[in-house]
Amino acid sequence: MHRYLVIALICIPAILTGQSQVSLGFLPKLSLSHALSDNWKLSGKVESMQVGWRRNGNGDLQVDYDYIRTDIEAVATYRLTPFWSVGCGYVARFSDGSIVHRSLQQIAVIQRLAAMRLGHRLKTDQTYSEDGDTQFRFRYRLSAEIPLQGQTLNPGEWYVLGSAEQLAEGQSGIWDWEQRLAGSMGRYFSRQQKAEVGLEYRLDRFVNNPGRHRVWLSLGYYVNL
Amino acid sequence: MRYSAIFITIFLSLHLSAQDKVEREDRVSPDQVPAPARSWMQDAFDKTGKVKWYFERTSGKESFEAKLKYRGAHYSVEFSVSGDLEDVEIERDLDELPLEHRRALRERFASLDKFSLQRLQEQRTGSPEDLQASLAGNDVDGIVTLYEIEFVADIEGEIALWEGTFTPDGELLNYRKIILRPTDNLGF
Repeated sequence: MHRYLVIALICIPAILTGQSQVSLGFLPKLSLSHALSDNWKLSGKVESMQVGWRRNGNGDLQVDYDYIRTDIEAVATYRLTPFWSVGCGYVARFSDGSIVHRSLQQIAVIQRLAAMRLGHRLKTDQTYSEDGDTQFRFRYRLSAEIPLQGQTLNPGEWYVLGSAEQLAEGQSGIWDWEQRLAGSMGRYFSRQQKAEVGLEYRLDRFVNNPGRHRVWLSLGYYVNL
Repeated sequence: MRYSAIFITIFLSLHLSAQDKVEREDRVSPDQVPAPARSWMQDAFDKTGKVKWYFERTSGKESFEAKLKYRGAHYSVEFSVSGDLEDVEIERDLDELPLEHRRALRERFASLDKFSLQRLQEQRTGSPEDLQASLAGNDVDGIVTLYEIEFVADIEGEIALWEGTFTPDGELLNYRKIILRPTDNLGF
């Protein structure tokens, strides 16, 4: 196991200094949720993606601000049990003056362990475009939320959140793979509000290409109305 | 400007109106714990066991709680703020319980719709001496054993996570709904 870790640590800088694309940017998001009943919940999210620095090929990382997109997402979820839920939703993506539409379906499971909570999310989405075939994605994300003060998370306390996600995406018969890793520090203010700040790393376009590495400073604010 | 003021007002009111269940657990160092509590833990468990201490506030009641893993099981020992022993809780699998308790509980569980066992703790109360003797493996008459069980079930039309206190005969003495923290950052 340690051997693989060492190999991975040696390889990551080599990949980053190769022909691949590297960009650093910001990914703020605001999430709003509202329980319509004991079982139905409506969630909305606004997320904006902006690049601050970019490097192509062997050049240096340079300041290169670029607004990429803003997503507005709405998901209705139905709670099957206290830990299992299914949902479906819609995303409107505003990018380069145009709107892209996406539908999504998901199953989420929460696991309570002695000193942490695990979240499993299985998700599929379909992105529709006027000038091309529909893109399909299949995703699985594992998240772990660990309280930093005691075994349970209470209002006014800090926590860390880590997640790993695998995405398979296909369009016009061509498939690609994306991997995401994220780590953040969160503050749980109350049942109504929490905030998170962290880093998210995304690697894609590496199956048939040198790969694209993106690192985002993620800022999240969650409100339960 | 007007919209900013409205947004700030909503934001602040959300903060101020946050009504959470009063249940809080803070890690404390052993020297903050009353001496009688520390002393009982040293007598009842091997000194090698690493004990984590917490200060708990549950619905207005304050207490100290010691948590440790001892001989393969997780123990929680609750003390009053002055260090008096209140109870000992031991995490158990249903299969570890005495046969007659297991049968009675299984029978009770079967009567609950959509039942799913989540967590079971054996709760022992009694005098400090009796509890210490029972932890050493002795059968002690003065010990009262109950089971604190977290379970999912459909009770009165609501499928929820519940915490109930059961007697060894399977009688459900009391139960309350456990309100889970929002999971929007894990599932959304």
